[in-house]
Amino acid sequence: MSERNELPQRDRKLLEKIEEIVANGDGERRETDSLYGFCAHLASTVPQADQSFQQQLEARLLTEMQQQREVRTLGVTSQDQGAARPPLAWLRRLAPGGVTSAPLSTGLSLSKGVGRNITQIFQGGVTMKKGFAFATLAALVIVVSVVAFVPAVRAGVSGWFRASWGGPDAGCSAAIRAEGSQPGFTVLVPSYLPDTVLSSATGSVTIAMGGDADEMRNFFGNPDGQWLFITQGQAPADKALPEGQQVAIGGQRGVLITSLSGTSELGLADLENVAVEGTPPEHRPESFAYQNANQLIWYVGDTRIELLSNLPVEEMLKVAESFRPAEVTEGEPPADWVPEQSEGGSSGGGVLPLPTSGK
Amino acid sequence: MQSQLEPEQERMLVEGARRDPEAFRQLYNHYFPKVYAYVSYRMGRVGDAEDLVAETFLKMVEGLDGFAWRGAGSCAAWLFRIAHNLVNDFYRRGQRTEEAIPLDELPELRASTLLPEDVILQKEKFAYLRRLIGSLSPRRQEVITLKFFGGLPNKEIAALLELDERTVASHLCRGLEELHRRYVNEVAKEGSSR
Repeated sequence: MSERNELPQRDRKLLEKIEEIVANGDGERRETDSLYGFCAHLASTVPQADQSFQQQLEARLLTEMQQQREVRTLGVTSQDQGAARPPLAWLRRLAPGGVTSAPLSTGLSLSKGVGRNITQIFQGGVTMKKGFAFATLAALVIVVSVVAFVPAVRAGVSGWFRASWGGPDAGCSAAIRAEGSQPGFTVLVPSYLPDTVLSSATGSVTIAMGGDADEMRNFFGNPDGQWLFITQGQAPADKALPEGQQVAIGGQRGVLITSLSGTSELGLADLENVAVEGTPPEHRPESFAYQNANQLIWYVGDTRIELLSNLPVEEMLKVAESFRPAEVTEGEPPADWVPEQSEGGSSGGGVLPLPTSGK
Repeated sequence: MQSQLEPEQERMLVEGARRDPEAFRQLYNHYFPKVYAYVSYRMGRVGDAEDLVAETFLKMVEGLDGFAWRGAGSCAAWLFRIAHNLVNDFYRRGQRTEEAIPLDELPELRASTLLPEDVILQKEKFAYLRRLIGSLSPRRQEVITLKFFGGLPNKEIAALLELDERTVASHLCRGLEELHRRYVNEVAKEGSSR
C-alpha cells in the first residue's frame, strides 16, 4: 500500500476503480469515452471456457494425481501392470540394490500418455569437478510434451542416442534412451561449444527424463554467466520462420532475432521425478530470466532448432554450424554403461554413479 | 471475476490437494476460470488456449509435491508463471503468427445474454480489444491481461513479472490510458470515415 501512496493521486484513483471494476465486472453499459468506462468495457470481455472442457480436464487431472500416488506408493501405476516397462525401469534393474534414495517415478511419461517416452542420461568426463549447484549445472535435458486426451499408440521400439557435447574431448557426453518409439525428429547435437560455456559446465551431471519426445531442450552454462539454451523438435510442414534478420546456417535459411528479454522455462522442477547423477543442483527454478539475448532459428531436415543465448552472435553461428545428427543405436544400453551402486541420494532424485567411460 | 482466496484457505487447499482430491478440485475450480481467461486473451484461439491451459494444470499436478506455499497469492503466482512461460514459449517458437482469427475460433465470453447476435458482437468486441491490447508494449500487454483477465492483485503480478509493485501500477495506468486513447482515436476515425 505504501508503494501505491507514492503514485500520483490520479493513478491511485484509477487503480482503485480498476480493483472495483475487476472485482465486480460491472459497467458493460458504461460510456467508453471515459477512461473508467473503457476499463469496465474491457472487463466485460472475459473469456469463459466450455464447461465440458473444464470438467474433462478436471477428470484428467484427478486421474493424473491418482497415478502419481500409485507411483509413489507402489512404484507402478495400474495402467502399467502388464504393459510395457516404464522408462527408467532398466536403471533400477541394472543398479545393484536399486536406486532407493528417492523415487524414480516416471513423471511426465506416465502422465501424458501420448507419444514417446525418452530417458536422457548425461554423463561427466573424468576432468570434471564436483560440488556445485545450479550455477555449475553441466547439462540439462528436458522433454516437453504436447497434451492430448487420447491414449498413446506406441511403436514399441527402443533406441539409444549417443551424443557428445562440445566434441570428444570436452568431457560432456550423453546417452539418450528412447522408450516406446523414436522421436519424431532427428536428434542433433553441436560438435562445437565455446569454452566459456563448457568451462562452467563441468562437474555436476544430470540425468533427466521426461514424457513425450515432441521437443528436447538442453541448457548449457551458467545463467549468471554465459549460457546456451537449445530447443529442438519436429519441423512443421511449412517450415515457417518468424520475423527477423535472415542468416544462412549450413546452407539453410535461418533467422536471427536480437536483443530479446524474457523468461524461459527450464523444467527443472521435473527433476523431482528424475534420476540425478553426480551432484544434483540445489536450486531448481522453473525458469530463468534473460536480457539482451539473441536467438537463432533454423531447420535441419525434419528438425527445427532454436538457439537462445547471451553469447556473441558469431559464436552462436559457429555453434549452429556444428550441429550433427546424434549417433543412434538401438536395443540394449551401451556395453560400457553399467551403473554401480550409488552412495546416498538427494531430495530430487536417485543418485547414480558415473559410467566408466562415455566414449 | 471470482474473489481471491484467503491466505489460510489457500494454504490449506494447496497442502490438502497433494493427497485429497476434493481439496485439489476446489483449488482447480478456483483458478481455472482465471487461468483460462488469461491464456485465452494471450492466445486468441480456443484450441490453442485449451492446449496450454491443460498443460498448465498438468504441470501444476506434477509440481504440487515440490511446491512450497510462501504466503498469500504464492499459489496463484506459481500457476500463472507456468501459464505465462508456456504462452511465451509458444510465441517464441513461432508456432502461430498474428493474423485475424475466425470468429468461430474465438472463445466465448462471460455474458448475461445468449442471443446469437449478441454472442457474435461480443466476439467481435473481444477480437477488437485483443488486437488493441496487442499494439501495446509486451510488458503493458502482460500487466493488463494479468490484471483484467487473470484477476491478479498488483502484488502478485509484480512477483510474477519480477517487477516492483509501483512499476506494475505505473504500467497498468499508462497502458490503460494509451489503450483508451487509441480506442477513442480509432472510434473517431471510424466515425469520420462513414
